[in-house]
Amino acid sequence: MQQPYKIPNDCNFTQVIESGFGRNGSGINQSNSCSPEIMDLNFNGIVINAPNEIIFDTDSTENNQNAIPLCGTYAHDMGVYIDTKKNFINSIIFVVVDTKTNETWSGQIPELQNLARKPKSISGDRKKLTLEEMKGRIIGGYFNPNIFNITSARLYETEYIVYATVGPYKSNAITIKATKRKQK
Amino acid sequence: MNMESSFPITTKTPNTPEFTDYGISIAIVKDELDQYICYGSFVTPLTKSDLSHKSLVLTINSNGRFKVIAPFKDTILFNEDIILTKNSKVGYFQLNIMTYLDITLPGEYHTICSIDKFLSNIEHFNIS
Repeated sequence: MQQPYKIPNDCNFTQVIESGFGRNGSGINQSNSCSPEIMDLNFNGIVINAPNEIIFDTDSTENNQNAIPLCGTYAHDMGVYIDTKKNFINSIIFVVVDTKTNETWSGQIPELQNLARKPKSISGDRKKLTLEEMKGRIIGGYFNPNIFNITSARLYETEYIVYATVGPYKSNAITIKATKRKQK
Repeated sequence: MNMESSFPITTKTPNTPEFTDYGISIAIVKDELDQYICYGSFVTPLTKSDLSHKSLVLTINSNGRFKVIAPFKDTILFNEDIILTKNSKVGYFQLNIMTYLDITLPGEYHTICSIDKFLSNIEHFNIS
């Protein structure tokens, strides 16, 4: 069976880092060459892409040093109940697990004003739509945060598992190996 | 079934979901004390020798609030907690969801567990 999405594993993550992770530093609603592509228009969920390995000299993660971009694409049927007062994208929970120590870190993309507007009703007024009215109306988008900016994960030699979840949705899980560069 | 302990447990019960493929599966059942108990089982490849209950991660989210923890990370486990089969390692668990919530507010709660790259089904329950 064909996957409902395509993950560009061989994309250039350095470009995402060099772009400063896009608008507002988390690339909300900005796609790039690393963004997963949804092939099936009926797909509902979250797909993520991240480099499989990071090689670092120092363990500093400040100012996007040794950044790990997490490029994601989502499609959400507005008729699926998500009990949250935040925008969908700001409700996504990112989970990072150190597979060696079983330490976990988590976080969300912080909410910024005027980034994503709440959808209007069909008639264009501000009437709140019912779940039934929203059924089948898909909203989708992208995100590209630096894992170290949205979680308190620390960088050291290990293997991380990263995934995202919100409400009834879960993403794919990605393994990221962190290796300290050997001194010459 | 009344889960007497608020500590994570590694035994199988009639509520525990069972499956044969590699992965992890959960079911949420409300007990007679109005506690929501997450019953689960996982099957992992023998090649992943370091995987055990300690690798289990529980995520609970509701109304924008969330909690992510490794419930067995600091608990003592015994060899019998993992069942070795010809090709796999099998483990069972019971987690009292309520003990991991800082505050219990009314709303719809979604729960997912993971072990390594295996993500469970997502179960939800309502607190009113």
